[in-house]
Amino acid sequence: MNTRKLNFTRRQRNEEIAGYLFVIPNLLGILAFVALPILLSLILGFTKWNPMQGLGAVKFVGLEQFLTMFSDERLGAALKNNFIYTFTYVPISVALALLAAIALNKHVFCKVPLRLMFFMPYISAMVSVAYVWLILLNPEGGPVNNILMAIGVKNPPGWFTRSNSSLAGIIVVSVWHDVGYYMIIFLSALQTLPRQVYESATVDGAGPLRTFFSITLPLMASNILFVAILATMNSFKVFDQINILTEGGPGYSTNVLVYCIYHYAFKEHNIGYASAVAVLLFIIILMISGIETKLKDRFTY
Amino acid sequence: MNSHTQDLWKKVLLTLILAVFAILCIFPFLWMVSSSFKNEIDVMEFPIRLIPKNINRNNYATVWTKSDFPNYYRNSLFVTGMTLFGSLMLSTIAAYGFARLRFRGKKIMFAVYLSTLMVPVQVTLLPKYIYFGQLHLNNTFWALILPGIFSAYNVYLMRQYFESIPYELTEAAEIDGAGHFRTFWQICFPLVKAGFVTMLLFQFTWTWNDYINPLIYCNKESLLTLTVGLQRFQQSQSTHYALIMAGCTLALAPLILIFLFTQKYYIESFATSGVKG
Repeated sequence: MNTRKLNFTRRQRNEEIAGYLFVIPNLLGILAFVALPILLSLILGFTKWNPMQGLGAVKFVGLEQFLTMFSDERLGAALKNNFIYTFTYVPISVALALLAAIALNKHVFCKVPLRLMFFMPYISAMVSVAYVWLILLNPEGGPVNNILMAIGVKNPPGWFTRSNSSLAGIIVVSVWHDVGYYMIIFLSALQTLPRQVYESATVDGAGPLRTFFSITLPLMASNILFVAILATMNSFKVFDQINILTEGGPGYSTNVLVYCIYHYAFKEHNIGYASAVAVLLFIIILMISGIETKLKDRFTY
Repeated sequence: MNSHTQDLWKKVLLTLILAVFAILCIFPFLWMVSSSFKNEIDVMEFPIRLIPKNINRNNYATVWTKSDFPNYYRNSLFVTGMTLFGSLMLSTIAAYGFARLRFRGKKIMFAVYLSTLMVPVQVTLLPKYIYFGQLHLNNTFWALILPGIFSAYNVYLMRQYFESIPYELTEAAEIDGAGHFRTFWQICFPLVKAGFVTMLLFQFTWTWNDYINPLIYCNKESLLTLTVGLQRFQQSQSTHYALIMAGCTLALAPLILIFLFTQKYYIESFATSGVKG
């Protein structure tokens, strides 16, 4: 009895030591390179600092920078652009992805190559494909505007060179890049839907539209919510294509939140204010995941 | 017309509609490769010719010899290789610990992982910049490799795979006297290969394509990776479109080739794990 108990505790202790040995190398790195920067980012928003002057020049200014935000034209434009971007990019890419996934899930020829072609933009580095789009959407002799003029469009958009079309250009590039990713998430969800429901719907004489609205849409509600939230999160993180294609311009027309952070920190060397904007981004992201948790309960079947 | 041929026509029609969209998806790639073989003067020709009238093979040689591309490749390979090696090893081991071993403080530790998952990297760009400055890591490869290695997402992903292994298997091994590391390596690891491949492809794609981190932490000319390197190259070329397209093709080629050969695993991996980004 006594030895059994001793063995038991020794085994437990061995397991505990093994557990720490397995986990601690990774945990230390996570604390140092992920968790600590998150805590610092919260503090940094309340300080004023120019990195050129060394660490001694850090000054606590409380809420001051959050109050300046209200009169900041660039940030105001960035918020407005970011919301326009979100409310066009998310519905367009989610709808296209869902339609493509439903079509691909039906009986079509060449399923595998089609899926591959849809997905290819997503794995390509944004930097490389952005340069291709910069030439494709060149208003002076670029192929897209040449095609538009050939089919009778009198004044094709100036894309990245005009402030009224630059954000639209960014949205085109983003939707093209990401839609295949959302599509394959939908596709794998569609493959798990019960066949029998569709079969009995066909027997009952439901047409494709009726089937879509009465069966597919309700069954896919939680997946659509997941992808829509994912796309919304991504829309607040957009940066690469903007820094490559427009650097936030012309004017403020393609400034978005992450670009603002980058601009204030590395073009104006105002790390404190840039960090305050990062805190704002953080709050927005938290709100989106809050909305997700709320809606999840309502949409799960 | 009987219903069978009607179905066939529907199938053909649907395939054609999808094919139009699929071609829109890959058109920029076709145009890029085609332009990279053109003379500068033919790039903007209209109607578009995907097969060049005069094939110019010199663009690639020019890019390769007159720019730093060989160096960008070396740097990207080094950073991606080191990050992958460190991350796959440490994440798998930690995930096993969290999934299969009992120790005090486990719940709190894992809660830290979960809470960091909610915060996008864009929020912590600046504190990391200052912090790396203090550690003299800025403008070294370590500023890219170290944060790349420690991924809460990878641990979260692998933990799910380890948890799905039935306990009977590991208990039997323990009774036979196998230590914890042997149980992990010889029994559990072979059973989570699908998860491992997912993690590998995810991390590889993400590290290879990463732009914002090298832009901020590692932008000295000799240390540039392909993404920021391509940007520098473009800035030095301004309107030499054929050369820029050759550069883009060179930057994209490795990942696209790997994708084409492993597309089944690639697509399945990304389909099952839509959290990171």
